[in-house]
Amino acid sequence: MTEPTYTLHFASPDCTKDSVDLVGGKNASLGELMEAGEEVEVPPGFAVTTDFYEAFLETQSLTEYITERLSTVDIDDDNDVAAASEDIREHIERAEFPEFLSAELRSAWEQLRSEAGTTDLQVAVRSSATAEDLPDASFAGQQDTYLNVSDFESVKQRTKACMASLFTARAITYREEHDFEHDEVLISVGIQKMVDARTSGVMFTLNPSNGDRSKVRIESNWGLGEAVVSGSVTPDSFLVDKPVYKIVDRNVQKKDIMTVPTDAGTEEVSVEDDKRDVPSLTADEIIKLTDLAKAIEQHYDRPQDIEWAIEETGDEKQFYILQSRPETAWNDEEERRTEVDTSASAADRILDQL
Amino acid sequence: MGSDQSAQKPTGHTTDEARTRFPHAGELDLPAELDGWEEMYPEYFRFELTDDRTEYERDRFWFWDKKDTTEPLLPWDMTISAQAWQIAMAQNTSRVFAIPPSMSVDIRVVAGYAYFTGINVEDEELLEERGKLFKERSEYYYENYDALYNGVWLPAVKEIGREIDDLDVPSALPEYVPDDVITQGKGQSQSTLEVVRNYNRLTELALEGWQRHFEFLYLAYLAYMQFTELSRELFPDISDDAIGKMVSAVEADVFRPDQELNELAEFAVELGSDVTDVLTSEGSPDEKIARLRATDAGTEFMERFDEVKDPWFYMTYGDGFHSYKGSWIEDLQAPFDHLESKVDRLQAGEELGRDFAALQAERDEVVDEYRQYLSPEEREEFDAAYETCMAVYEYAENHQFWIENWLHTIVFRKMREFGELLVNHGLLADEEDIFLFNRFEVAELLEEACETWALGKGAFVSERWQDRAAERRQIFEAAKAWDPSPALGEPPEEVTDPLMQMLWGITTEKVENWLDIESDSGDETNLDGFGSSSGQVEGPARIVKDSSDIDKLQEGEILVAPLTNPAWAPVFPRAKGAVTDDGGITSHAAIVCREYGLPAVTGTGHATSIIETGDIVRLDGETGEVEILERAE
Repeated sequence: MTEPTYTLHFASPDCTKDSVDLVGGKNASLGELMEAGEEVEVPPGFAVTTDFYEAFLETQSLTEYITERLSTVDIDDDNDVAAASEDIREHIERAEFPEFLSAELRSAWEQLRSEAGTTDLQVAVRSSATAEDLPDASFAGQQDTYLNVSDFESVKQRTKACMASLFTARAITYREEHDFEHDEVLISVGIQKMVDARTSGVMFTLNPSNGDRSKVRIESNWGLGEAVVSGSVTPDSFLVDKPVYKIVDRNVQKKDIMTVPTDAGTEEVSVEDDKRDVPSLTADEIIKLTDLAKAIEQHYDRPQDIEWAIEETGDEKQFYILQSRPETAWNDEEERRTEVDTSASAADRILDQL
Repeated sequence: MGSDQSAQKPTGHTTDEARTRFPHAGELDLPAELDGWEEMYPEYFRFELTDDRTEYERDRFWFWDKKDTTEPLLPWDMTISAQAWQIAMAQNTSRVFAIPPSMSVDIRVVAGYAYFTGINVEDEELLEERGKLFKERSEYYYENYDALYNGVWLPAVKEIGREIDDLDVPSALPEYVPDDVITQGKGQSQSTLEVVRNYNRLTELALEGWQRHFEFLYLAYLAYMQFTELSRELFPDISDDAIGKMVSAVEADVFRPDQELNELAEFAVELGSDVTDVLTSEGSPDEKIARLRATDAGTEFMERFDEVKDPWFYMTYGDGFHSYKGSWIEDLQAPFDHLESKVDRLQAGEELGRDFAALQAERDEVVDEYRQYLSPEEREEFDAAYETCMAVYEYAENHQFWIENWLHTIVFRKMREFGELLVNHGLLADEEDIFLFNRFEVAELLEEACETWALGKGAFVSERWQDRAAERRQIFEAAKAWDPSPALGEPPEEVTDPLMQMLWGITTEKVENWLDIESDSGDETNLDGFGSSSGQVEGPARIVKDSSDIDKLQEGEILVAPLTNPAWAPVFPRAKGAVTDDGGITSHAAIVCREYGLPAVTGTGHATSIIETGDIVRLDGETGEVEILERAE
């Protein structure tokens, strides 16, 4: 047996799409994004792995407790399941990490803090399930996310809470009904720096209005990306010709609302007057984003829908990729294809055009 | 080519002051110094000659062919331009390849400036008939381009040049006919027959060269068009500039003279100070050549020089249409100037010219990336279109070297020999004056030379040709100073012809803009043209209206010219950018700038009349915008 890996940095070459069993789907996809190219960076963070989770349950005798507690549950009785769920989650959240795991977590945390170069590092703590691509992912735990976590004690506590989410009533029921062993379903947790974005948005590695793959469409707004993603503002939009990096179309909108971080999460606020009509991206930034989009699309070998953010502190500017998914609107190749006639000669094409 | 002639009434301008049409030729107010210009050119080209022609002409839109007649043409030069074009250019589209909608072009001349009107086909049946013929014929040419161009065209053109070169023109007719007229029973004077025959042959060959000129020309532009249109279809919103990049770095002969100079400069540096010291010193080309021949290294250099000068220094100083501008081979000042600055740059550690391999690699990378975004079927069609374009497109540049530069140099040189004959027989005062007479008049002149020679020693020779030459010289100078109207007659509602847009850069907006200028006194600071070569630059402007001014261009200046000229290529490294009055995105002006990586806006219409030397201007080679930021003091 190989040495267990308890924490794994997203930038590690071992954190890729092939490490879902170890770090869960969400963390694996962040690690995979880092593989897309030198320039492609996700906000720094690390995975608390399934090895960590297993060791935690094992050393604190939680596995035994869970097995025993569940052996008496009447799966058809919702109240009974709920009570068991509550007991198990409480047990997990109250248990202490053994010293070696706690030390490992602290070391990863300290490393992240020094990497972020800030004393008031704020992170998001998220569960990252190992089977989230199954039809009903809920059996593997809810997608719990805790924002604005800033001290180590809270990190530990939120990590446990995420792990405990594997034992929601619904997850228990699902696994029973589908004959999954409870101790075979594992969970990982992701701890990632929260980005205080100056500008963020989405980009498609094709022109969503006609499926033309030689373009990147970038949409952006001041602040965090929620307002763009949810569609609550009309973002600035730019169309870039990928091979020559030429901005062929730009629409700078009047941007009234932006999303900003708060202690409780995020909120939408008014954009300052003098920034409303100003493009939320410079030409250089658009070019840089295009580069990133091309690298990511090439890495995944298919059109992508990408969330990104730009953090700017003083003279430092950092581009972060938050997420990339296959673009779905134009995935039906046939639909967007121009009518082509491969047997047409140059003369035929000329006659068509004259 | 040709504009949409279905437009019945002018559009766009509803205010009373604004003009809705251009003046008719008969309404032009020509300066008095131009009186008599009509006599200089063949009758066919005269506007409003008779009622029936006037009626026909006034119904049409005529645009000034500024691309070729930036300056007026001398009467004889008209032989290998408008006269050659009227048959060669028109028949290519009408009766050779039958390009369906573009029947032909009709030509008129005002004071030496050519005006074109496109004659279009609208009849459905005729369009269909022509479509079939066009498909058959153009396909044959596209499929056999290499065999037709390298196997037939180039040898044929070289043969035309060689035959002209070999035409025997005596500097004077002999005092008495040679003995063999008697001993071999040759009849009477072979010399007079030969003068007439060789002149006729010269004009025939010149016209034949011009038939060759147009042979592939429209096919080349259409090949380019089918590629650009397919690109626009497959990649909506693609810029002209991006398409231009995909067809750049073409190894065309028109760039060879500059390349050869680069290689000579490098060779000179290799040979050492015996050669470089001479090249960078003061002195006329003849003095330098003499000094070079005095050393071993210099002799070696001159051997190489002599090897490449034919054909590569047969570069005309102008655009090739003006006999009076001369050519490098006749006046080696330009190549020696270029060698001097190239040697200087090499000695300063700079690279010469364009890194061709790098340009090609960059182009191929862009093309590959576009291809990668296509489905396999789309890629197949894209590849076919691209291949056709790249195979044939070089012609658009090659022909310009071989016809406008190489062949014209030979034609004009031979004409000067006839000029010398006329001077020696007292009919003209200067050999250059032969160009002041049109093709048919020169035939008359030569005949008169034979006539007066036949009259015998001491025969009376009329001075009237010399007087006429003097008058015409003055008229011609006045024509140069005159500013022709950009167009005449009724503007089309919409310019739909792709060739007209691509070659002359004439678009609906351009025509509207001309109308605005006509009726506007305005103080313009912004100009729009075609973003023909990417890059944004800012700097002082240098107006170069004539090739003789190109040497005034200083490092870091923005070249503002009616058109750029391939003969200027050696000084391009000094320029920061270029703005031209004319030329669409496939014009020579645009191609040359792209090849040399010079940011450029072409086809602004009137940059040379709005911008002045010293003005600080900004140009954007992508959007096609030009702005005057600051006027010169």
